[in-house]
Amino acid sequence: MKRKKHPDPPGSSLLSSMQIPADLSYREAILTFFGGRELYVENYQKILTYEPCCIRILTRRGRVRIEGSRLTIAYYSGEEMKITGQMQTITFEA
Amino acid sequence: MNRLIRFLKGYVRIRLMSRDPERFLNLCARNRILLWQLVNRNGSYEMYLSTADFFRLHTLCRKSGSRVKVLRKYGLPFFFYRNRKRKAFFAGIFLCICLLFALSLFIWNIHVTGNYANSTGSILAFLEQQGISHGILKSRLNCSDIAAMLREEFSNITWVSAKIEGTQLILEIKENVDGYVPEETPEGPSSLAASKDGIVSSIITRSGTPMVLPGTPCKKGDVLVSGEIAVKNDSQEVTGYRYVPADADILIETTWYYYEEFPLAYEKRKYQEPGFSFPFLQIGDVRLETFQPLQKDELADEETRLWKLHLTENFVLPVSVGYQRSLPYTTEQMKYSRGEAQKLAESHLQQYMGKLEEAQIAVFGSEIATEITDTVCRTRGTLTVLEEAVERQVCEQRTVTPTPAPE
Repeated sequence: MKRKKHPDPPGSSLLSSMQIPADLSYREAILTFFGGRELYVENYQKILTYEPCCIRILTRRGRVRIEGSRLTIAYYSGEEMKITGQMQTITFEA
Repeated sequence: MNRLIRFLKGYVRIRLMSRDPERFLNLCARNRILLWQLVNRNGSYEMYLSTADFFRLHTLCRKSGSRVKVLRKYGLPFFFYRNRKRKAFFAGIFLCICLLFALSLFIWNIHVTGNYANSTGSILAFLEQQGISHGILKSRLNCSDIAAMLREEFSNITWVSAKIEGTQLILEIKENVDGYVPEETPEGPSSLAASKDGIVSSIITRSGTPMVLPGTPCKKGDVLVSGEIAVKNDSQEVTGYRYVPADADILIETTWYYYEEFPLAYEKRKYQEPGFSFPFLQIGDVRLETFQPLQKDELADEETRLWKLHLTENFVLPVSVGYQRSLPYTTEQMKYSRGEAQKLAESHLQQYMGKLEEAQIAVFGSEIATEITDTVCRTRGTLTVLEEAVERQVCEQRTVTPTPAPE
């Protein structure tokens, strides 16, 4: 039997039926956009790459690639970061 | 708020030079070091972090093989460090703080709200008489005493709240808005007499003996309610008298004569362009004028505007600024037409009736005629009004001579 790369954690169906938000039950990353100029990222693990045109972030469920221009990290802490700049594409990499 | 805290604690802008900058950033996040305004500039990274966090970077730099250069230092600790030799500057700041503290011990503004019948000026003048003025020490004030003093002095003030907020004394006032003024009750025995000739329209006696009935004509000085109450025995014989201050609501129907006359010819002013405004400064009663008009117009009004300088809302300085200018005019002889004169006379009569209404005098009949001659407009006639035309008189006291018992 082929193993899934990111299997759902045990008890996920129970948590879903209890309507517990996914960021709490699976610790999934939360990405909040304000237009294409601001992005709030929560529940991430670390920064993989930071360049003015590309930022790659590692989350528990995979990698997120943000491409654009003049990308700046407005603030950066263990729990949350805010990215500003002109964002063009967001890619979820497996 | 965050900015203020950062400024107070101090922060630095650094440049990170590293082969693996992401590792450095992740180590910062792991060690709860907050970074902000992180920018990739020409291959190196620039960012801000607090001074306290900067001193924790040494281990992280060693782990990630990075080098950090301080570009600029911001905040109060660095400011103090840079200016540590400027002792006079710090002495000035210290003196300024002391001065602010000293000034905060005084009252610099007295704010009065809620007053309609009593002007702010009269309330402030009374407080000044009592030694409470702008610039008084806060510790010398007792708010409850101030409230009690105001209630005692101004009879129509029903409620006062005095409180000190900062350097401001706030007086909130509620006044008796329905116009009820408690009458002073006379202590000695007295009677109520008519103060005008007329017909008694209604009489409601609360204390004393009524001497007239409604509809009775009365003359000025007639006693309407006597303060003398006869004490009678079982045989209805007067055995003595009790004397009280008479109290009654009496309305008397009186006749008022109305006469008004004005000439039909009048002067009408036509104002021209106002002249140049001459500014001046006034200190006390001394006025420092900039210019004086060289030639004064014969027919002109003088307009003077004055603005008093205030330090606070009610703290007026004895310094004023203003300007003076002349408003020249020409006169033209005019004459009211018959219709205009009639309308003007009617409006004057309406104004007069309005004043009577304000004084709570009811007008229920009028016989007024307007007569217009070639030169004047004359309005005359009579008004029948209901008014409380009574005055208080001292009640003469008498004693009953005992009748001799039949032998």
